[in-house]
Amino acid sequence: MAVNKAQLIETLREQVSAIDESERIAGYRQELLVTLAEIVEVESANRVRKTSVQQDVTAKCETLGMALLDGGWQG
Amino acid sequence: MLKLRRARFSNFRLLRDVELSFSADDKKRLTVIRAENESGKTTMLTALQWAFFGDEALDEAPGRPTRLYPIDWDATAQPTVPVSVEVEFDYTSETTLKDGSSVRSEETFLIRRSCTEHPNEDGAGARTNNNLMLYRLESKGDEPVANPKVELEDKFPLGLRELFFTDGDRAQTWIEVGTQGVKRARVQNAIRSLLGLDLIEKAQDHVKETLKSFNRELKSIGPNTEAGKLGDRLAEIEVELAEAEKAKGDATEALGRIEEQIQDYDNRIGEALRQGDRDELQRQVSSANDQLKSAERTEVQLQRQHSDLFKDTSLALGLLAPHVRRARDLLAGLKARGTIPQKFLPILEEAVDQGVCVCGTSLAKGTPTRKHVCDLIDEHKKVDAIVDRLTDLNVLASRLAASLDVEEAVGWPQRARDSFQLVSGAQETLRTAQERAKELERQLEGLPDTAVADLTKAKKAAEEQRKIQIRSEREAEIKIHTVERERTELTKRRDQLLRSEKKYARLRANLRAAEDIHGVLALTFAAIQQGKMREVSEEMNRLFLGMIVANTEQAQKAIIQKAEITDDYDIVVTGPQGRRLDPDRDLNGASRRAITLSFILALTNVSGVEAPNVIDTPLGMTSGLVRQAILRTAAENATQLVLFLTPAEIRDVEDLLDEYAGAVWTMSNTAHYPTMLANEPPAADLRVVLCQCGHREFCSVCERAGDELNDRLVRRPA
Repeated sequence: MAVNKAQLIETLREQVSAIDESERIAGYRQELLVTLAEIVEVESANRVRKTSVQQDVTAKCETLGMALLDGGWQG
Repeated sequence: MLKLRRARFSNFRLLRDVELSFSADDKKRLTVIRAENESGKTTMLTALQWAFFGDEALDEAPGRPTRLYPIDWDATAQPTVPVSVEVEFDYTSETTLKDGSSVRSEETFLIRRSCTEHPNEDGAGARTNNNLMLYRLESKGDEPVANPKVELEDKFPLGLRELFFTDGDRAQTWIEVGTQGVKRARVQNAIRSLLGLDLIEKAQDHVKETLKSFNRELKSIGPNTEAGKLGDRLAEIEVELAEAEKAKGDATEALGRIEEQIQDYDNRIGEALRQGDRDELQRQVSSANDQLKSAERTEVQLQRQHSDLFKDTSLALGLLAPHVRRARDLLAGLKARGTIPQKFLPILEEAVDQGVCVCGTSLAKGTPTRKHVCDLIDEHKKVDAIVDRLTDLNVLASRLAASLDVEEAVGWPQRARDSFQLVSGAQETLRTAQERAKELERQLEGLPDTAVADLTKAKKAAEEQRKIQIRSEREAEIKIHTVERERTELTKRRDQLLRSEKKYARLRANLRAAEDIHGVLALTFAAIQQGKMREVSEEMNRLFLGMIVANTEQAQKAIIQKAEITDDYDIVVTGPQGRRLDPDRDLNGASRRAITLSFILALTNVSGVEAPNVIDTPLGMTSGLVRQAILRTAAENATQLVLFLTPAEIRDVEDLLDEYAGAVWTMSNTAHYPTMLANEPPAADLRVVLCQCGHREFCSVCERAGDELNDRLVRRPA
């Protein structure tokens, strides 16, 4: 309850639009938003349950990185 | 979203047995609990917080626990007091989907917090058996929730307690009590929590750590060119391997040919040997010659022996046998007649020698007898030559006759036949040896001089070649093995490097992703801090000016022109010409309450966090239009509003309560009888009694004694 996640994700969505997708892969913004939403969930869960948040956040970053590679991102 | 539905209080101070429900009507979100001073308003506010947050909501001094049990509890009759509060609430949770959207689901929960208090003489008491249960209310029954404290903290964080449970008398603490740092921290905490800045900042920190680890890993790996070099070497190895395999193939093929050659030589040598080996033949010739010589010697010897047979007396005996037997018989007759042999002469000669005659007479020399005997010996010697000859013939004839018997038993003819056979055999052996020697000589003469030797020599040469080819084959195999091993190792290393390169690429992608995530989080943080905070500030200003009924049309005439939240989380109020007002000195009590409520409502509105605002005496120190404006603003902007109001606060807002209140309860304190309550309460002890009287009603329970406000109320039908 502490945070209105829908509103927070909407703000994240607005900021994701600043990412230049042409320098990444097609559909990257959506992937990025999903990852951010998952990180919000991870942080939210960790707030009261003390989960392995660092590992979880790293895993989310790696998943997005994998999506970049799989999408043919060359850097 | 959290919405209160029902609460039940048991032995919580004067709330000995009180149960009430809250308005769940979305169109009338206000619940009013009317009560005079000291009639349980603050107690109920505290009890609700205790239910959600436990002892931390009691603001107890260390070592000085707050009394929860009723002050007049008869400890002698019942030494322990069971205290409990139940709160039923709806909770709408959000789940973020993969596409970034969210879905909401609503559940109903029941908190049951309880403890046992042990009253003592100084009015305090130990608290034991603290217990918290959280149930999920379902149609099939109540289901206990695991880790209720965690679940409650998730649904309603302790840090937001003061934001949603507000004591009107303390509401101004947001702006006027404590140091600037304390106020700022309180405001900052509320803003950061509800707007998600804390969450974003923590996420940023975690992503930053992830970035660091990615960078460290990336640095440790680094781009490399070794894989390319290994690729070149592996290409060379393939060539070397092909060459070695060709060499091995050549050697194997040559070996095959040589083996065939050797086999051919073996066959030819065998064939040659079947025809004859010169050396062997030579040895055989020599041996045959030796055998021939031996046979010749044997034959000569046997011939000689055979010739000797004809010189043997046996042959004569054989031929004389009838004559010998006749002579033997004749002579044997003479002997039988005593003619032969001469017997007396030796006897006489022996007697003379011994000097004694066979008759005993002395034959001593000089004696006549001796003379007579000597004369007799001389006479016999003169006529005995013929007798002697016949005697000898008799002896000879007897001996020959005996030999004839033996001879006839063996038989010269047989010996002759045997000897002849031996000679014949030797002659045959000799002849065979001669033929064998001649045959061997003939073979030897007919044998080609070089056949076996040359073949053997060629075979040996082939065998040498075979050794060479075997060595070549082995060397090629070693080379292949060595190169293959190198290829395996290099391939493994190259694959490792390629994996490392892949890892490098993956890390770069991870880094890119983490940087993007961090970047968006930073942008979001800034957007919230700048955008949402400005929204909160503007909303607070709008609500505040509305509550205090500021003259917005002629703002220059207003004393209070603007309220805002600074970037440093200070709530400031400015007056004419932008002069900042000191809330402690320049704002009246109503404005101070108004700005606090404005901030709370603005923050909850902008954050979108939906929770009940439970406020005790929010309209104190207000009156008239301001009171109405505050109530209207609160009722219109809160998701769920629970107000504890005194009858005095209700004055002038009855119409608004008619409009906004979905539930109204009245609490009375039995201790107020008979001073303030008109009728004797239904219970003799000190307690709060609840009735369903609305803000325009009274009943026998809540009827006030001599209160001028009674004139504004009507008796509620029984």
